Amino acid sequence: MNPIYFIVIAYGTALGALIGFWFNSIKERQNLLSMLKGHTSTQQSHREESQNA
Amino acid sequence: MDIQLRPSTWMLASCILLISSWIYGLFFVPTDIHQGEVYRILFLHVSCAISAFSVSLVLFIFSLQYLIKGGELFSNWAMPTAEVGLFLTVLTLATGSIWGKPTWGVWWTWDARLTTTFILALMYAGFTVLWNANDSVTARNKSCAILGILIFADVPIIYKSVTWWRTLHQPPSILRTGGSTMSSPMLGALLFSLVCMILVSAALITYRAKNRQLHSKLEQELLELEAASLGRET
Repeated sequence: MNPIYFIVIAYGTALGALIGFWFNSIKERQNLLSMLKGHTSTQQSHREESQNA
Repeated sequence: MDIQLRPSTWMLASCILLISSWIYGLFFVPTDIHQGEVYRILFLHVSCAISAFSVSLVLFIFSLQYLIKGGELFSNWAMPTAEVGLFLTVLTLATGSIWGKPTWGVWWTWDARLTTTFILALMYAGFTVLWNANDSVTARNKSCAILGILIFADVPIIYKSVTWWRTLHQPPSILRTGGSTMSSPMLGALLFSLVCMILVSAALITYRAKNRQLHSKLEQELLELEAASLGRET
């Protein structure tokens, strides 16, 4: 096999892995932020409920 | 003027630098007289390996700091460091395997350097498993800190493996008595890609540590909510 193919496979693997790892981290952050946001609004509605009561 | 760079900006900037270093190594450095074009995998493989070792040093510092002083630093930063270390070690093994096929004729052999690096990957993976397996935070941090120290202890063994045992892997060509065997354009390109890979690793660790802080905050708020709902019931 042409050595160029090995270079392409090696750099392609690294680039793919790097992009995958990065996107996984971004997705994780988005999930955490949306959960925190949802949780904060739940807390706020609980507070309003107890004030009304 | 107050300029605040977001972690994703750091990440993007370091990735662009890393890709530039790869382009430099692939297109602007002369061909090796012995290996031909395939040696260009070196700029990726060696920078990944040295970064994985550097990350293990960072993990060692966090672990030692926790065992001596304790504190929150380990809880937030150790796991992201181990994750990035695992990522870099797996990448080192993968790129080394791809380089091994055209130069040695095999994808894998149980050579001393390869085996000790494989053990490093297993230890990093063990760290992530151990982290998630423990319910008690103190027990988790203590056991993981000890493993963090053991991970770093593997690095000198990996480095010396090519001189202690007869191996297929080439002996050191940069840090050796008598100076580096590499030509200055090749060495320059390697150092450039190494610096960029270390920057990417630092950016990834920081990004994932911020995620961990958010995770801790969410856990804390859930606990508070649970306590509040229990209080209403009683």
